[in-house]
Amino acid sequence: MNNHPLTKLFTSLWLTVGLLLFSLVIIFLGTMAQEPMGLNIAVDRFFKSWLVDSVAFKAACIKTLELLGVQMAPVTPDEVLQEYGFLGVFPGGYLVGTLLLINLVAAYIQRFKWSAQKAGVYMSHIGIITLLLGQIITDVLQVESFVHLERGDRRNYSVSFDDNELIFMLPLEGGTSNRVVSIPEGILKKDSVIKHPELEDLEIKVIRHWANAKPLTAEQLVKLDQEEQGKSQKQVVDQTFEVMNTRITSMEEYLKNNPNAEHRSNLTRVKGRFFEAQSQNIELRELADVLGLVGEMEMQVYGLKEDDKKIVFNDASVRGLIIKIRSFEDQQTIAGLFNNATQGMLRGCKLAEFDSNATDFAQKIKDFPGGAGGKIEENTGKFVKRIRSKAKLYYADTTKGGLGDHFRFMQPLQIGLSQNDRNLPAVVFEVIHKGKWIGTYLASCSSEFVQTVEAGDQSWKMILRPKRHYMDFDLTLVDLKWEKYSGTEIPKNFQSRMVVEDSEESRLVDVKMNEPLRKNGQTFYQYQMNENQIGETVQTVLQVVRNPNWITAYVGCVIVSLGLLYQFLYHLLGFSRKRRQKAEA
Amino acid sequence: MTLNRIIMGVFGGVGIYLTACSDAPQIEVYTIPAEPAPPESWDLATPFGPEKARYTISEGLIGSVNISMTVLQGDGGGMLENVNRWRGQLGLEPVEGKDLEKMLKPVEALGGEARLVNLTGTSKRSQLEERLVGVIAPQGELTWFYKLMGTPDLVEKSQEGFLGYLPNWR
Repeated sequence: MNNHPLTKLFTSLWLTVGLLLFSLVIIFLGTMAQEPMGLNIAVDRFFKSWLVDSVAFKAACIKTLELLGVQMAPVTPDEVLQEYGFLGVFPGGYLVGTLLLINLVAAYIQRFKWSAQKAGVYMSHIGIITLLLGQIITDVLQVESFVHLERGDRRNYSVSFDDNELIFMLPLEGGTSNRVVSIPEGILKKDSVIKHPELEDLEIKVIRHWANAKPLTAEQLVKLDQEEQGKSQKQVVDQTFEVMNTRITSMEEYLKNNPNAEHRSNLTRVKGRFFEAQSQNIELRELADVLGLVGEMEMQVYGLKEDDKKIVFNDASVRGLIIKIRSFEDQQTIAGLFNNATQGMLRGCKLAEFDSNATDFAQKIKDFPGGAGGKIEENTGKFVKRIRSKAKLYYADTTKGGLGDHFRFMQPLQIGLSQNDRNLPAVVFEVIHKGKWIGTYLASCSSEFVQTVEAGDQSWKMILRPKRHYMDFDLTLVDLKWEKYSGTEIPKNFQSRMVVEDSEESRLVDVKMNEPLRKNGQTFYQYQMNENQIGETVQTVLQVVRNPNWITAYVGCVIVSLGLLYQFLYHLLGFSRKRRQKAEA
Repeated sequence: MTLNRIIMGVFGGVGIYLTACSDAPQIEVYTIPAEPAPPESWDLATPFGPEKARYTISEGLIGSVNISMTVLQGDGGGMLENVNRWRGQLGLEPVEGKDLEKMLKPVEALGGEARLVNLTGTSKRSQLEERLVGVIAPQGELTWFYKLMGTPDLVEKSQEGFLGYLPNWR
């Protein structure tokens, strides 16, 4: 039996060493990947997986190379969150952990020969096996969530940090309880059709899904366009300042080699004005003034004539920048005019109406008594073309539901991967009842508005929200404390005073940083305190950990400790016995 | 061969267990207690200052009312002080402790200590005649303050719905 190649492999000490080395590499790469991928995703893809996929591996390698001074484009959030089905390129935590467990068990069985002398070693091994198995089971069964409370808030649920659910809810007879069908966001993929016996005859067909998006009204869409034009303008203004800064630096260099007290003094004044303008949000006219000052200074310092092409305001590229700034400014003005001209008319309007409003606006500008001017007409045409294509791109195209009627557009946002980022997913779906199309609805995590879906003689309540984990007791926050070490911002104590109530008890508890609340298999740790805008501590956040397997870690540690203690005492007693015998002899 | 079987058994067992328990998203169905909802005529509004929740009711020519809920620690300043604060909002003179009991009515649905006060006066803010129905409900370490204030006719009309919703409004 001992000569079988499989036995040899799995009982080999080399395998143990190799697997421990792999563990070190996985821990290192997983740590590297936390920055580009976010903590939770990195943990899932490196430690809670059988194989590390190519994107996660690439993210970790790029970050490692960055430490060594090699710069490469990092992986994007879209790449990280794309559908699974990646190629596994490196062993993951589960694979290495399972192989280690098998290696340990096999070696244990092969080498096990009962003797009192080695009983402690065997016991310690059993303890380590318990710890390894316990960790794997905990990874699978443990659920972490959060509960946010302000003074007086009462909650009987905690919410997931990352997971969201689309809820369809029906009141049960008597009206004292609701039947909830919770559809995880993970299955709300484009074109998927969702059916479930508890949804009865309802069928949900997903049209679009956004991992992070902001619902917009038509007015907000125009405002967004105005802001984007402002941002683009700011970028060009910064480029112009950069050019002027280079010109000022060149003049300073020149004056070092060709000293002139008057020029130096004038240049210092211009530089002061330049920095003042750079630090403020100035208008185009003021920017042109500063540009003029720098140009005049160049004329003085270098002795150039006003029409010289070398002067900053005669430079073709700088003129191009100024034209761009002017154009962005015009576009913002036109967007403002459009919002004023359509005041109250855009509320809840569909794409066709929005388009028609935009076209009418262009026509009104054209028909302006006395003429608006070719330039304004041209800018209006540009604006109308852009806003119409933006509206088409962001249009949610819903037909029913309060949320979709109010917010007709969805702005996709950058997906946040860091632990503190909370993405706000949204979904547009069709509801079909007994084969009959009911309507197209929008649901978004950014709104707590509960919508109604009427189907047949039933009235379903529907909402997309962070996944809830209901508890069989209530928590009411009475008070909270956030103490800091005097004169610093370093927290000294976070404390939440709460009433815990269920059918059996009602007691007051204090949850502090190292004193969690344990109740019905859940542990509530003091996690965070939040302040309001005027710096008052108003909200406490508790981390809730539900781990049905919590006992194995303690059992494993106790077995290992007892084994080591036995082994130590066995040798100690043997050693002292020998010494005594030697002394007696 | 026995050892090989054990190895394969452990490997397979852990694999099957982890696969079976994998966190592939699944539709869940569960039952929860019905969440109380305010009367349909109440429109959600932005809470003001320390308020936890605020609603409004508007009825064309009749007028409008604001409904708010505030939770404070301890007794929140006490019954007398809060009643006098509300009286001040309606331009009424403060009362003394001995006169207070006569003005208060118990609200049994909110516990033995809860009291209701009914005031009418000229609002300092709008300079119009307004009515205020306030309920102060101490419970344990906290005190809940509920306020219905606005046009007298609409307050009268909304009072029943307001008092009916209070026991569930937390």
